[in-house]
Amino acid sequence: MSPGPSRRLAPFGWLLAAALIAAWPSLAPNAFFVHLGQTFAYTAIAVIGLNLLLGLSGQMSLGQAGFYALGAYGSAITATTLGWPLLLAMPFGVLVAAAAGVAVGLVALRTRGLYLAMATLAFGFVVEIWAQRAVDLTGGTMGLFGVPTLDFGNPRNTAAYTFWVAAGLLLLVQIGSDWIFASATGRQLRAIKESESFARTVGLNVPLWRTAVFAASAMLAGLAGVLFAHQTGFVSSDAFSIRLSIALLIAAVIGGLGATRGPLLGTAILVAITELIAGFHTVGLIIYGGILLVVLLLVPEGAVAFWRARPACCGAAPSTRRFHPHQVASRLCRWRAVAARAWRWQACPSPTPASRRCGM
Amino acid sequence: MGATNLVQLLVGGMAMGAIYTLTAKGLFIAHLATGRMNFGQGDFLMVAAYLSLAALGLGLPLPLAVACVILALGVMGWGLERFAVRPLDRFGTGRAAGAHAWILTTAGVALIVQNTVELVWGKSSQYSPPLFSARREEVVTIAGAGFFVEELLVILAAVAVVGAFYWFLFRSRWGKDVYAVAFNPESAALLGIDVRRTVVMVWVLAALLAAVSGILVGPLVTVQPHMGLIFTVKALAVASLGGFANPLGILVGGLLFGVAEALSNYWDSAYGDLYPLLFVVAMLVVRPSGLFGEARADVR
Amino acid sequence: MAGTRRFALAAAAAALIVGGAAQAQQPATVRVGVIQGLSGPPAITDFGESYLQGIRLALKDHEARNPRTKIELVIYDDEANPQRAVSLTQRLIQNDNAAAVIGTVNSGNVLAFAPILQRARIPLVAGPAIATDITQRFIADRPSFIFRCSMVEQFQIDAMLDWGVKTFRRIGLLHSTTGYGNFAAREIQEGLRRRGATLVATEAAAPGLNDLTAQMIRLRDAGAELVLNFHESFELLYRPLPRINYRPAVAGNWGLSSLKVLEIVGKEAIEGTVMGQALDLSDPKARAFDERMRTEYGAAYRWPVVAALGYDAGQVMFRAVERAGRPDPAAIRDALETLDGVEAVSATPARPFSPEDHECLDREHVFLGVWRDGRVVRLEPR
Repeated sequence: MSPGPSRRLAPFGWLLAAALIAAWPSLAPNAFFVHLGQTFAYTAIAVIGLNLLLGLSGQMSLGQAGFYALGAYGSAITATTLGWPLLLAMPFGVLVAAAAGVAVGLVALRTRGLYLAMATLAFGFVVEIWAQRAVDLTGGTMGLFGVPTLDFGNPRNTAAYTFWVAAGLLLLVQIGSDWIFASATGRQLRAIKESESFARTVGLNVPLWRTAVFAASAMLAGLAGVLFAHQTGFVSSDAFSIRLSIALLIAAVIGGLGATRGPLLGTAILVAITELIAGFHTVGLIIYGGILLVVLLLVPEGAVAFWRARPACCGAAPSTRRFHPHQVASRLCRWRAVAARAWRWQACPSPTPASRRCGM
Repeated sequence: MGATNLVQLLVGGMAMGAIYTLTAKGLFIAHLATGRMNFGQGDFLMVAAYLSLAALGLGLPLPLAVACVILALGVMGWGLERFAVRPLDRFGTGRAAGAHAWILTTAGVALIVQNTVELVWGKSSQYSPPLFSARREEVVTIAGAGFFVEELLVILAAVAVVGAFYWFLFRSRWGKDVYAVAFNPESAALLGIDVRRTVVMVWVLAALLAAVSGILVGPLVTVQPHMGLIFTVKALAVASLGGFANPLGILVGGLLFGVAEALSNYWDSAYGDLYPLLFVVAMLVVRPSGLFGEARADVR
Repeated sequence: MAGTRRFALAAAAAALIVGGAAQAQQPATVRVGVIQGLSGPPAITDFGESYLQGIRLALKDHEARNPRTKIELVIYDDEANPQRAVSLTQRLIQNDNAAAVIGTVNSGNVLAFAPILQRARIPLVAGPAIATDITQRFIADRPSFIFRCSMVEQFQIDAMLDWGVKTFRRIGLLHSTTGYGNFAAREIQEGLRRRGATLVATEAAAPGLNDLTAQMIRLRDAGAELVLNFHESFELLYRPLPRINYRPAVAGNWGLSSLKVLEIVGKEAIEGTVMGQALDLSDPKARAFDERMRTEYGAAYRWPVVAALGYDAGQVMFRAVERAGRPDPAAIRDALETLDGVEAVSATPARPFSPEDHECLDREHVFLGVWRDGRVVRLEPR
């Protein structure tokens, strides 16, 4: 559980993030980085949804691409073919995804573990196949064109507007996620993940919670799909394959499941890897696989462990002030201990005079 | 649809179903003992298919080629467990925050394996020479229906391997060790079972099953580096269908799935790949632990 | 005093002139972006890699002629994913300052990023995508920045249907369920209707299928003498044929001319298969190109016609860049449109483009090829 000082400092983090979002289109080296920022923002939203589902309530889903697709098509089709205004079409897309989430969640009530993974995987495939074959409705792989972009009447600034909308929504979702993780809701979900029968005995309505979390994560994946559809004005069923579900899972796990900051970190890593290997078409997969292996072998809990790790050998920092020398030293000790752990593959470096000094 | 067509489709479907069964058994046994599986099982199958076609292309006799492929995949399975799965346990196993890390490490290995195959053999499809007949087109006619000799022999070989697998699991000492470790590793250790060796053996066995299915699948399908993922998905479907607790269920599930694929392609070719998946989902809704799985109450 | 100052002035003037001349003689580097499908199933990578092989050889030839302008290729893999293709296009335009783009395999991807390139006024030579209306969509916007150097699906289908309707009575179709397959199916049905014929059977198949027995059984039972093969795994159709005792004539798009298909299916099975073609290997220029590719790439060279079109696309692009002389997209576009004297390896004419026609290959340049004794030759009309 997050200690006191971190929680008190959270609003400052959000304000800092808001300032960064507002300034990014001007700070970015060129317009491509604004485009990357948009992609990062809506992908992170979907990964936060998966983190809630898998990290907090322990339900595995390999079919998030299905909800993503439903959101994208729900918004794109109503905006293009039916001509709805964006303010109606976008929430409609999210609603379609949420409804599907409730349906899948109800099915998920009966399955656990790998069976649930298979059921959600099948769901993802079913949506992809439907999107590919129902050509009259979805345009199939040739795609749906002319989906309106978020230009608010000023086409020259579309990239910046899209980024602000996506990143603003990401900030709201992240705040929500922070709140859930720290609140009673989060604790209840963790209890369900630990042991359902126990949760039932203390009066939690387990089916309701499980379905609600499924719907929430589907809604977030749908929101991501909606933003994706309106980013470039083109939606093709090729984008919603199992590779997308796997990519979201990779981002969630590599960032750190069950940690509220994990998705941001994981999405950043995912986007960085994708852009890095774009030019390496002969060895790109080796690089990708290699990074996955190295990061997870070093820190199986995810990249967020570099911040969270608090081996007992480092002791507790006596001061709660963030930049007090004791705090800084303790944090440095923690980082060193994590690196030492990873390098020597031991749970904790054996107690030496140096490490005892860490605790101060 | 005539009887001849039906039989031909059934045999073709069962041949592919046999392959799915073998692959799924690899997933099953790893999951049984350790709660994890090789996300790159299909890619191991792909490597085995490539090694097999390379060995046969060099002119090696069949038994020698099979031995080489099995040896190579056994080493890969050992390496996977040693370097991509075991290090994840060094901070304690179970419900730790890193409980899903094995998905990414095995997937990472799968990507590396796929890229390596692409570098060596190229990204195109390959011709895979027949195993049991002189030419691929060798057809035997039984009661008016033509069958590929390869297909029939693949079914027989798969049944033989499944039989050997059963004997191993239920008759031999090692099989009992596996079940003991599956039930509770700590109590197994207390009973004198070498848990580490059992776990290593299980992962090597999973890789060997991928090897056998890879060797058998070569003549049936077009071999290309990208074929791994879809086999992993279908193996997962078959294992879910049959139940992760029962090897007999996986055999039935695999054959059912293969036949369902063939028949649904006949009846409605535009949606032929959709119906088997819907079938799996329907089965999971009706019987959440698979056809033969036991519903275990959640008492943790 | 006066002498020194005059001397200093003269020296300064000389320095400026020499410096300015050096500046003018410094070659400008033009970046040409290449987006291709280089990973994924062979149905994508065979196209993408072959086309890229052609482009690379064209660059080598261009550099061997000692040009003024230095060209740098920036190559990206779009993984057959439209989202990646669009993202990479943005990267080329905004981050890499590409002055022109060549690409890609999937027609859907091309249609996704072509509007972006048109809006950004950067020329695109599309290929090997074959969807019929890639250039047509933009030709009315004068100036159109979208060109294409590849087979056009409509032309192949027209040639095939003309021959098929004349030679066979019962025609069946096997198509994949992707956009490419559906598109082709629609055009075939349209084309047959115009010629007063219908299909006796239409079978679809998902792109990832391993086995087409069910579909071929149905085509056999419908009595199809000619099967039109528009499925991405080109060799899959042949496999079940011996077992179900069926030996139809097969015709399809240029995918069937890949050497890999010959290797997998075997010489006897593929004998007599007809496909759309733009490279006639009995032509000495084409044969010379074939030899050079084999020497250059060895076993990795597996698709003569796609590599040839890649080579011609590269030639066309690099000549236009040379004529423009600087990284100026508009100048490159104009140079492309007015290009002349191209010595193409494929059937591309010496003057490939005009303000109304941005296609390398027009209807008259597409013909039918047939497999005879392990080689693809021109199908002689009977």
